[in-house]
Amino acid sequence: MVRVVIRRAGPRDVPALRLLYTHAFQPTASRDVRRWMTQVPCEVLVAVVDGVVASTVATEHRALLVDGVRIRTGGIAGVATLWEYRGRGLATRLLLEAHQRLRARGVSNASLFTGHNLPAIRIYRRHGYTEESDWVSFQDIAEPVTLLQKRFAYRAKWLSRTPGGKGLLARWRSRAHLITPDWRATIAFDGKKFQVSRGRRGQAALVMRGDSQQVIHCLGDRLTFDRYRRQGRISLRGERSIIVDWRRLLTLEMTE
Amino acid sequence: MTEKDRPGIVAVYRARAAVSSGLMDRGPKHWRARWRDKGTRGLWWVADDRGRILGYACGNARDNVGSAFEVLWLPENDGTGLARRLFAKAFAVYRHKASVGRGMGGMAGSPALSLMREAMPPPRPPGTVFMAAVIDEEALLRDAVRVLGRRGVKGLAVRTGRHSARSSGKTLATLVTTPQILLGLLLGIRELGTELRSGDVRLTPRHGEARELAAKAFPPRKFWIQDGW
Repeated sequence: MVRVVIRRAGPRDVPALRLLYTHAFQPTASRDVRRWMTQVPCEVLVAVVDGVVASTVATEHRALLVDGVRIRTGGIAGVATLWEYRGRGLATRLLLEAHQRLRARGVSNASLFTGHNLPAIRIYRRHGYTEESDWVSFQDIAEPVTLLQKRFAYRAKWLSRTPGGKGLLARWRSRAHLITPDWRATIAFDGKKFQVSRGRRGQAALVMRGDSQQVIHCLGDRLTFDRYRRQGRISLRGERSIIVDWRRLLTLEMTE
Repeated sequence: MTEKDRPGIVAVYRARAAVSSGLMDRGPKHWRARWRDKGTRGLWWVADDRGRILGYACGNARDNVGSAFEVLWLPENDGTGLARRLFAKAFAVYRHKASVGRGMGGMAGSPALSLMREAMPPPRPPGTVFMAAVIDEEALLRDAVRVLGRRGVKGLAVRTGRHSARSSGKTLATLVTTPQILLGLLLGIRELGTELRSGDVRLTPRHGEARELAAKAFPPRKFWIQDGW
């Protein structure tokens, strides 16, 4: 019989929260978790499964101003579940508990920011959340190859710390060429780090072509990647399995 | 931006919040943390007129991409071109400070967005979305009554499902809707006219006076949230 305990997180949970945030978001240090827990007025809940801190939801106590009137809102943040515990309803149970605690404080509503492409959006919809407004992001990248170098350094760091990411890095030995009308780049992986260099170097197992802006838009965004591909705004050449892995690598979406 | 500009920046924020929806209530603790934030150091830009702060832009530089994440100006300067000049100056600074590129994000429909469209290449398709849920209907109605009071609305009853509330004075009109739509109307995410036309908001009686009352209760507002969490 699996025993699940929902409780408020304390200082002793920092290492477990660090692991959860690393799995779900980005490489996170314990000091970042401590700083967030102490600086932001929030309540962090955890679901403990047979002694393992497997999932977490935080509520930040915030107030939106409407013509200067304070409307208190529970800012839902840090929704994360360990890779191997996903799909068991832990986030759902935590959200229910978070809502109950917010109601007890007299808060009328809860709100959050999430990605259109994240599986968690389905959980939020089930709990009555509706998509209210998009966040629009503009970018004017003067040095795309330098940006790619920074973003792929981040990918090596993050993927090496997550179960799905480790598997991807273990498989990925392909060289990729990115070709746009304005610049070209070669991305190679030596087993530890990505080497991103200007121009086309060597034979590539994968070639991605597109407009400069559109290639950059695909970084970390599976929906955009898929949309541009359907519309023919980016094209990919390579074996199917390599394209599947490249899609994961570029968009950082490990699951559908 | 220098230390002496800080009170002016806070004043701009408060003035904008007083006529907007969606800005956060920020206390001294928030501002102290903002002034200390090393990530934004040198990336504040203010517009001033003989020492009075009229507007400001604040940004950060991640991966050497300079991003303006907060640009606000006094409501009295709407339509004067000040915001456009502030944007242009801030972006020039970010371009200088961050060689890789510049960026900016904003809530769809916010006034800052049209300026971004002028200054930047087309945006990436929206990837992030703001979602909201009503978790306590009665508390929401209490919130609504407080906002109606601030707007000087008298005689409007609001009903959502089993619960109802009314602003001060004798009831002249009743607005019936779902809790989720009421939340949207309050925050300025939804527009009253659209909801009335779709039938998701019902108003009784339906004559002009009741409509005027409802329009005063839920005037057009741009949802202008700055903080992601």
